Amino acid sequence: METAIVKLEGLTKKYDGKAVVDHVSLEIRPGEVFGLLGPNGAGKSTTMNMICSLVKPTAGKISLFGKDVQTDMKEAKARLGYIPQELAIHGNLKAWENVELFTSLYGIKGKELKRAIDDSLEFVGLKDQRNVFSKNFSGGMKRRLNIACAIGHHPELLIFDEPTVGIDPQSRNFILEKIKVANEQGATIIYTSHYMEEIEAICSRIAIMDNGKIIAMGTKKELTELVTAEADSTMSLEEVFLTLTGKKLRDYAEGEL
Amino acid sequence: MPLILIKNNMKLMFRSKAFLLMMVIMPIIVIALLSSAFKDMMASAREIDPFTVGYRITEDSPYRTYLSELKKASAENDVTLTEYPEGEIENLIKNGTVTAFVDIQDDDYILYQSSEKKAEALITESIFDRFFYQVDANSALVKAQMEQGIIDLKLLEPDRKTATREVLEVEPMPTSTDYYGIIYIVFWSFCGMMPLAAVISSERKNAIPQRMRVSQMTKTQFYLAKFVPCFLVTFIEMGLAWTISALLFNVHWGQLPASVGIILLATMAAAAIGVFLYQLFSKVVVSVVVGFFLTWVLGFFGGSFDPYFYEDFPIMLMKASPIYYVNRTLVEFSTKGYSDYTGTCLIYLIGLIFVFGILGSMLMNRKVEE
Repeated sequence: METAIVKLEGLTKKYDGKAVVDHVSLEIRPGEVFGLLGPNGAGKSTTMNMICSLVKPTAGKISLFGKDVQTDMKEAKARLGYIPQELAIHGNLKAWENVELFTSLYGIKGKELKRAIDDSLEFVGLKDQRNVFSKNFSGGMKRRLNIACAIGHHPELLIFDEPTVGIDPQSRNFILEKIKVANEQGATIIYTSHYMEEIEAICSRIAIMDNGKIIAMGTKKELTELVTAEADSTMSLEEVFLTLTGKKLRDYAEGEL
Repeated sequence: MPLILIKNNMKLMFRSKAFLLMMVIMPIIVIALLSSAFKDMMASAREIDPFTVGYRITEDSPYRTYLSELKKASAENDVTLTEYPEGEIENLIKNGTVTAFVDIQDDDYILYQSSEKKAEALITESIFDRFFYQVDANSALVKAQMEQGIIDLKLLEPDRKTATREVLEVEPMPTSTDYYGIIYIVFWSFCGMMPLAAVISSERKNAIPQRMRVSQMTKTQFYLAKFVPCFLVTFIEMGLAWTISALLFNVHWGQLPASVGIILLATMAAAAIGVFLYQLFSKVVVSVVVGFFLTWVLGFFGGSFDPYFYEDFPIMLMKASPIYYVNRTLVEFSTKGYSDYTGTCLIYLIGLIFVFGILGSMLMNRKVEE
């Protein structure tokens, strides 16, 4: 069996004594598109942030590429691409300058850097707009540039934290298609989204989080089997999700997540 | 060295037109306004109206012989010497009969002055100092010649064999254009944290710090990527303001290479303080306000608003301000060609760069949640 690219063991994060991520354990294997689903406040973003070393866990262990991130994160960082939920680009830089800046953070320079800029912009369909300031881009173009800035160093693991928030259907479809292409080219993907149809469309395996815990994990078929005995059920992922997490509204104040 | 990050951060700073205008145009406007507003005040210290100095001389004073020559020398400097054998010296000065008074005794003289007429007193002292130096020098020469039998004159008292001279500390005054032309380049150099606000606010408005922390960059590289472009951009902007103001107003800078070096160090110190403040406060506007207020206070005590030689602050307060040392050094480079304050100025600036550099570097990335 192949070594897991991501391995979480009893991962826990507490704020003021309250666990927002509670003993989460999972493994993500090379070549997977792994979806993380959950209502607001389920602990998805905190889990992502801990995987990326942006937040220190209270307890538990995270391994990336077989190495403990607490002690050996430097190498793992070079193999990791992170697309945050918020846009992480400079409005006063041109598209190519943004890609140049963020790709250079991984030590890439010279001709290799130029090639990486061209490839990344081409990948997200912004090659013709390379000299446009990103502040003049539409929401969808900014989202695509946000992705381009994370792929220049050819990461083996791409973490997408709700990358399609607030964009038009065409841009969303384009991004999803490109995620599939990236996966076909060898990248392992972790994907969080509120949009069930996105998860359903691209993810090979899905974990559903609620109240900081993983309450179900598997392929869509496996998840459906958890909530219905019908062998040929046509339940959508949304129905499975609501059955597992309940229909009660989840309202959280800022800072509670 | 994260050169590409530095390059792009510099682009962000130069593309912020508001900061560019503030750093280049504002110093020029302020120099034009203040040098014009204070032209008369500064000139009054350089151009003094003719005045009268009273004197009294003892009967046996050997200097009595030279009084007519002394009066002639004084008149050439618009100073009238008038003898007042009687009367209270203090009253003569208080009621304005004389501007200063010199009591010439057998071997020396005492100068009485009013605190309101310091410049006139300095001129009087300068005339008397030079005159008596020449007299004493001549006397010593004659005495030596007499002892060697070259001449035989009995004009001077026998025990005077050497001439003594006290050197007065009189600082040459700059013109208002030179003073404010130099001082406001210094002041704006210390505002060097401002252009970096364009980078910091763009980063914090977006999720850029998160993305950067996921990269392979070290804390030191992040620090350099802020510090280096901050001082380079400020230095370039100051260079522009400096060149334009020097061309427009004919500001005289002395010791050009040394002055450039000191301004460079000042921008580095300001950048170090700026990066520290941006790390200390989470809101950019708070950092900018605190930084500007700090610079204003240091400038207030350091001669950025009133010339330092007119200020009545306790000297301790003035010396606590690094701007005082930079101002004084650069103004004296302009007026004298050298400054005794250069060493302290350099130590102060390098100290600031070092201390705030370490503090700023330590605060980098402290927001990674524990």
